[in-house]
Amino acid sequence: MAKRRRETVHIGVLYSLTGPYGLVGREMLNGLTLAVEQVNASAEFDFQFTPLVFDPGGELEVYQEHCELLIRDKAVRHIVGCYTSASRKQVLPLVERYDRLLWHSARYEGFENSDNVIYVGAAPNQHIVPLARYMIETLGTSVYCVGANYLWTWETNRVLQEIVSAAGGTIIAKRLVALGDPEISHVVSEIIERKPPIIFNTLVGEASYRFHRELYRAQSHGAHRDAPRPPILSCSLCEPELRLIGPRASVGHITSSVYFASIDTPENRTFVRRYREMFGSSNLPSVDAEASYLCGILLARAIRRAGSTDVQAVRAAVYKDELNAPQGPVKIDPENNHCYLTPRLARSRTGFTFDILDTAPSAVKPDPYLTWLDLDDLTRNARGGARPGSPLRLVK
Amino acid sequence: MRRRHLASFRGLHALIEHCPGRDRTVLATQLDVLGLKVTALETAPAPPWDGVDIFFFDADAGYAGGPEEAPPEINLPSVALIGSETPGRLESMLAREPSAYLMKPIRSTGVYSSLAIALHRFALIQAMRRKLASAEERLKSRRILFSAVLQVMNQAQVGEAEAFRLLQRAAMSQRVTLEVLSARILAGQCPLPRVAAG
Repeated sequence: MAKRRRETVHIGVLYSLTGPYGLVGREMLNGLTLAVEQVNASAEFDFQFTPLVFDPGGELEVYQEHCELLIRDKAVRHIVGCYTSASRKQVLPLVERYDRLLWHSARYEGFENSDNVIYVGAAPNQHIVPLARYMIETLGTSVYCVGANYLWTWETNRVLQEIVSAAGGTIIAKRLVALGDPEISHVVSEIIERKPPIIFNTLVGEASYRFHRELYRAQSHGAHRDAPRPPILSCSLCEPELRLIGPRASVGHITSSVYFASIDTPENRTFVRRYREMFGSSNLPSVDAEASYLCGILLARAIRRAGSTDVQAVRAAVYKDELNAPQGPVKIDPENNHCYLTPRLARSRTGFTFDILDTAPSAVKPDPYLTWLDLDDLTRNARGGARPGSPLRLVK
Repeated sequence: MRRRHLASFRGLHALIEHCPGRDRTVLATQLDVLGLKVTALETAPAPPWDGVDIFFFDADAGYAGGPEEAPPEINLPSVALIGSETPGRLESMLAREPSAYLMKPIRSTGVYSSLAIALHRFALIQAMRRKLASAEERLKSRRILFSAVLQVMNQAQVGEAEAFRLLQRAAMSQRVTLEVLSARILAGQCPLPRVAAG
């Protein structure tokens, strides 16, 4: 008997594979490709995905052009894509006007909830808030901030400032460098001179890698050699970036993220194995790769449940889904279209990977507007407080 | 306060501070349709700007030096162009005291309303500020007036109402306000008004 021909579902892909954050774009495409391969190879789906990949190269106007092409010429109903908030804001009016769904994999600063976006990346209560809590409970409340001069830095610094102030601490300095400018020596010199006890880093791409390398070099020479090294905290440092920083300078940094390749579960072991089979044995998936993989899988399961690619039907279907992802259980919150995710804290170690220090006991409801952030509760156990404990246990 | 006639904004000069792109083009085109003269700049020079009647600014961009620097005082009707609704951006936008706002992506619809609201709100707030300044001034001079009334009461041996009437009459004849006359009396620059003889 002839095998029934499976219907083709075209999905738009809008990831910048070139340009200033091309590395992350390629990571995200890898994750999605893995999902597409899994769906196409599975008899559980009576359709096949054909991704139509467009690379806006990090150019904002091009995101709009490519999105319009995907919607009007290619007639796609679902687009997986975007990384920066600025790029999402370019695409948002189009997906809303034409009533399409954008599957957004990147963590972001929150304060948005569109009916036409499924936000699979972490919301602020799932990344910066757990990190700030860990910091004030475990490390201290005096912090030096360095970051790229754009929205993500401004907003995460603002949240950190609010939490640190409530805990009676101080932001020692906020140093911003132009996005894409790799010149970072002045910040390194200032850190060596002022010796802040904690550093919070929101630099992007090459500037961040250079910052790590130059600071490590400065700390390893002369009179500073024996001085304690302040921990560098971040919400974005991931496995592929550790390799780009280098073997020594990449060790000992703390990241808040919902996914690390070192998560020890059967689901994640399978995911990492398949990722390495497809993209090379020396590669580990990053949080962005896992999130874009989830975008593909959640979309496929929602289409199957809905029996259609219709946007309204798929949205209703994804609300009913619960998935055992590589990071643990995930589901979309119908209240705000964001994802229940499991915050974790980890420290980078030799070999370009992370030791997980702490994991939230369960997936955390997304709170994109930080409506339920309770500063009193959050700062109750600030360092010097009565009972330090797991920094992730009360994240709501 | 006289309300600006709403029918036309023809001839007004609008300054747009926004990077080039679709939003700026749509806004400039629509302002042009409405008869305004438009200057669009990526970064406007520091105010004051001669001849500018209304200022449109990008609430998503940090002003020079970063988001936490105090913004320059604009003192013009202004419209914030908002994309990101993050608190940090909104705080920085509010520090510039816009009279109205438009959400991005900018569409031709809404630009006319934003002009009407911005010009109206700005005029209203200016009028309220003038009123407040004058009320504060009067409040400050109440103490001086009260002291002058007391002096007249003691000197002329009259009651409060009569002392006030004497001051009023003297202020009228000297063509100054009651507050100015009182200040002059207290400073010894002017004799106390007296009860008319007979």
